[in-house]
Amino acid sequence: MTRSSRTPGAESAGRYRRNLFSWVMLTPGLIFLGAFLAVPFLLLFVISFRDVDNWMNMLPTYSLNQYLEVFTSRFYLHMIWTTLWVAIVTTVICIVLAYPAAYLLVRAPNRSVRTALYVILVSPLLTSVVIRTFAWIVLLAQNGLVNEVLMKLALISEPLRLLWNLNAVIIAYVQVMLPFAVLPIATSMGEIDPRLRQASMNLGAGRLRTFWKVTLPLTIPGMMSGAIIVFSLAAGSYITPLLVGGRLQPLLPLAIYQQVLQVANLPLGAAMSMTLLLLVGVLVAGMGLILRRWEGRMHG
Amino acid sequence: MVFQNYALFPHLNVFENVAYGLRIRKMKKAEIAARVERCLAAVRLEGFAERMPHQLSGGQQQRVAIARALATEPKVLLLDEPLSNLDAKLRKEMQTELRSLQRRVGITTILVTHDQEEALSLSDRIGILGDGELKQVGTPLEIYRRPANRFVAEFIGQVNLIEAQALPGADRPPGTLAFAARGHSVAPGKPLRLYAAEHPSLAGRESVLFMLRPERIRLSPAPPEGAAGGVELRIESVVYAGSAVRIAGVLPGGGELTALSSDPSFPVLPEPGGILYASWEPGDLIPIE
Repeated sequence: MTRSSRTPGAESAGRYRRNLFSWVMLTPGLIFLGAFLAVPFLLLFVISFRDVDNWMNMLPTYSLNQYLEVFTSRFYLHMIWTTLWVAIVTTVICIVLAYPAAYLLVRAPNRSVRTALYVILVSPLLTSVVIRTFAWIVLLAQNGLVNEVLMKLALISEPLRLLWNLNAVIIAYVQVMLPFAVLPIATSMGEIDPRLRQASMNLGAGRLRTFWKVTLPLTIPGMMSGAIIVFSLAAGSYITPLLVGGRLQPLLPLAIYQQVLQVANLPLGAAMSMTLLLLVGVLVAGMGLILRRWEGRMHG
Repeated sequence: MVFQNYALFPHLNVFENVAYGLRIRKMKKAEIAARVERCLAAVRLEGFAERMPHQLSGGQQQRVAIARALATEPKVLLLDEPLSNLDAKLRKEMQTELRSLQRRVGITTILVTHDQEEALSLSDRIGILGDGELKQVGTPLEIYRRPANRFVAEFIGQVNLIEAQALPGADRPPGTLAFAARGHSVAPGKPLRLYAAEHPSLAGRESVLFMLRPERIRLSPAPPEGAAGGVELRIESVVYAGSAVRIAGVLPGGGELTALSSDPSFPVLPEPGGILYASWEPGDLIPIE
């Protein structure tokens, strides 16, 4: 029997073997994810409905009390709003700053320059978030570099309070997350057929109008992907806000950390985690929908 | 300008693609709508205004690209290999369509193409570019019948090129000049004798390059009668192309000739290795610079 005249039975047996092989290869990963992601996630979900006594011991009863606390206290509502607001501001700043950087990457005169720029862009990701954030403490502290320079230039008479507030958190977030915004934008920019820009200019549009009418709309998918990554990272991190904002900032990840590790109120921490997950999930799904619809409009 | 890959804006529908140049010119809305409608009608795409480019076939995208270029009423329309991405059948249709569209709209159109047939059938004037220079400009008829140089002769259609030496004193039919071919011989050491119609460019020339179009060569199974006679050809290859048969053969003393005959002239296709006799009129030998 030659290869080309294989019977359907042999073919489906071959496909079955290939399927079996890929399942076998996937198994360790699936087990790992199941044991350390899916199961803890389910536990978290269940715990979020448990009650606690005054000593934070979990009671065998289930209720919506933890969620009631999260959604009725002005303190937590303010915190939810602040968390989302900080993430949104970070995302917008990241996209705005990433755009010119992506443009530079795509328009690099040759391969080696482009590679060099990519290395520079990605290299911060090789160090830990803690180290990158600590750098901001050095810069923004009372006796840090920024204050020192401003004092020396006599622009200010006493040190500015640059650390331990939400602005510091946003600044550090932007720096840490910028590469995640640049990469997808650069990708979608690189995919634009240069002849589209030529066609636009040929029809009488200048460079600026060509940018607004052609380049910008065609990079919306890249901007959306970047925004999704940055937003979900910014809404969920706690190391960066802890280091440059301090533990008292009204941000959900910090509050979750405190409830779980300091107050030891696991059900409330779990309920807040679920709330954060749901809010981020809804917003990311919304952005994903915009992305899908825009791509569907262009490519069917 | 119309690009080879059309370069339609993928995020804009057909209407907005065609209206693009008009919006830049800040035309009034109603005027834009009327102009776009007219341009889409010109390329026979009425009712497609709301479609996105990816919902159109290659030929339709092509026509949107043309409508977009026409909308701004340019003085000259430049089409950069507009048909090279289309399949053979659609290409033929679009050639006819382009020709009649150009006539209707009346815009001077420059069409870039690698397809000689397309160039011959679509244009009023052809410019042939080679090695970075303009080799010849002329009507399709001039380009085909009187190529100015070897490059043009070889570029437009397949040709036989015969180098020949003038034979000033030789016997010849009236109104012709006699030449001896250099690479073509009827027997070893006996060059092929050529009679070319008298032409001002032949006056006093020692050596001349002649072009002989394959379709001007007549093939017959027996030597034809007449003073010029026929040239014996041993058939090397026979290629049947439906409407015509391309037959290549060699002369007994060396040198190749290719002939193109219409299908009905051969009830049965000749076999390679067989013998045919080739003949042509003195006027068919075109001197090339």
